[in-house]
Amino acid sequence: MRSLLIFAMAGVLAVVVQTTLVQRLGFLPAAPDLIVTLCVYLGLHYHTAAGALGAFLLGYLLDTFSGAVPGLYCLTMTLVFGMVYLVSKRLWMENPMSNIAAVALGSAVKIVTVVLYFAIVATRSVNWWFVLRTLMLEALLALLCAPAVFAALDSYLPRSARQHAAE
Amino acid sequence: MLNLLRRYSVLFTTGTLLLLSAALLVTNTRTSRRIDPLGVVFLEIITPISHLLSSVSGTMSNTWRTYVDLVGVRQEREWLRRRVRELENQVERAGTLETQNARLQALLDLREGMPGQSVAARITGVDASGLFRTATVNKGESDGVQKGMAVVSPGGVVGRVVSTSPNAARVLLLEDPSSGVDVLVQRSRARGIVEGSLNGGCQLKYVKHREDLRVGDLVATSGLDGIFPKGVLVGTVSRLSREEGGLFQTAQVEPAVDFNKLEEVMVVEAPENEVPPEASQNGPATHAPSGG
Repeated sequence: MRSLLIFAMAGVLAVVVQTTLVQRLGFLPAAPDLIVTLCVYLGLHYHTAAGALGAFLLGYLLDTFSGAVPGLYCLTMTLVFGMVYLVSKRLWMENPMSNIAAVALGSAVKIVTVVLYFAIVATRSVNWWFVLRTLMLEALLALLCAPAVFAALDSYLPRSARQHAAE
Repeated sequence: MLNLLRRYSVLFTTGTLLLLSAALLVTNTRTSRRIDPLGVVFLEIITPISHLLSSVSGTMSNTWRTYVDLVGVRQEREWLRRRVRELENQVERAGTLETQNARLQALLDLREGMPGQSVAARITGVDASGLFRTATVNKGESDGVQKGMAVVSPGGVVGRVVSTSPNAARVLLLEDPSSGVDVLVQRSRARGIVEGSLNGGCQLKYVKHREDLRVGDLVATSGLDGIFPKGVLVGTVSRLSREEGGLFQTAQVEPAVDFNKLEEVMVVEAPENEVPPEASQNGPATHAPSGG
């Protein structure tokens, strides 16, 4: 229950930061993709059906607050969760560097999914330079923010709950 | 079987959710209607928080700037600076109030010029991803805002409402790649469609090759798309591209509205019966007296 509440709050906060704060502060070239970071955290520490559902709902939240076709980010974030989950089942990913590598993997999954979507579905001409630059910037900022986000989540979520969920 | 399900519950759930997402994506891509069952709930929860945080962050950034400016200054200079700052703040506040007053007055003038029902709204947030151009406004169904309504500002066309909840709505901005507005070139009465593009800015398309189109031409809504009232300024032609032998010519359009500085907008009801451009002798008057 505590984990659910914390993730709901984290999701809301992430969207508010992406839609309001970054624009208001105005010194960042793009908004860090905090939702990807949260999905990666779920993939690393919540090896349960609830973890997958959490990633799906975070994607839905992003779909609601972006101009994307509903379903695009649901699919992307569920894929991010799935990939990170599969990798973390096979590799030891409990140190800060591997956490950052997991966020990089999550961001890569997101970039590939969005680019594939544009390549397959987009009916109008796509400025690939703009799309890739924006996605890369968001991913880079997500990597920079990841240690702080992970530390904040670690401090609020008891280790026992995370371990229990992972088992 | 149960054991197998329990053992691979994460993979089963992830797979099911992937299928669900793909179904949602495919359905929404194929139909023009937005199928978004949870969107209303999320919009209702986040918009008030976003609105509050937007105000708080504005105050915080002002406070931070003031603090940074004053650090390390001697006491006397500090006092003098504070005094100057106080006076500047007063002037700034007066200036802000004056600008806000002018903006709201322009919005009121615009409201009077609109044919149907209109609702004034405030922008509370922008698109969560960098690839699309949408915004959230603090007025929703309970204020009369409905899906498909046009959104304008004193500067010109802003976009249209794509989803609503009781107290908030999402606006697809003019410069989003999936937006399109039926327009007329004010000088030559040439008709075309203004579309957004992925790298920002807009393009005027489907203007017949023989039509007279020049850099600096004003482009306004035709009212024929059933969304925007006739004669609202869309932008100015900034670059032409004519392909020899092509049926149509294309032009780059500089939007009349600066979307980064947008604060208040007017949500306008769709026009009922607009007169086709050919029937209008002098053409519509452009509802765009002031800038962005």
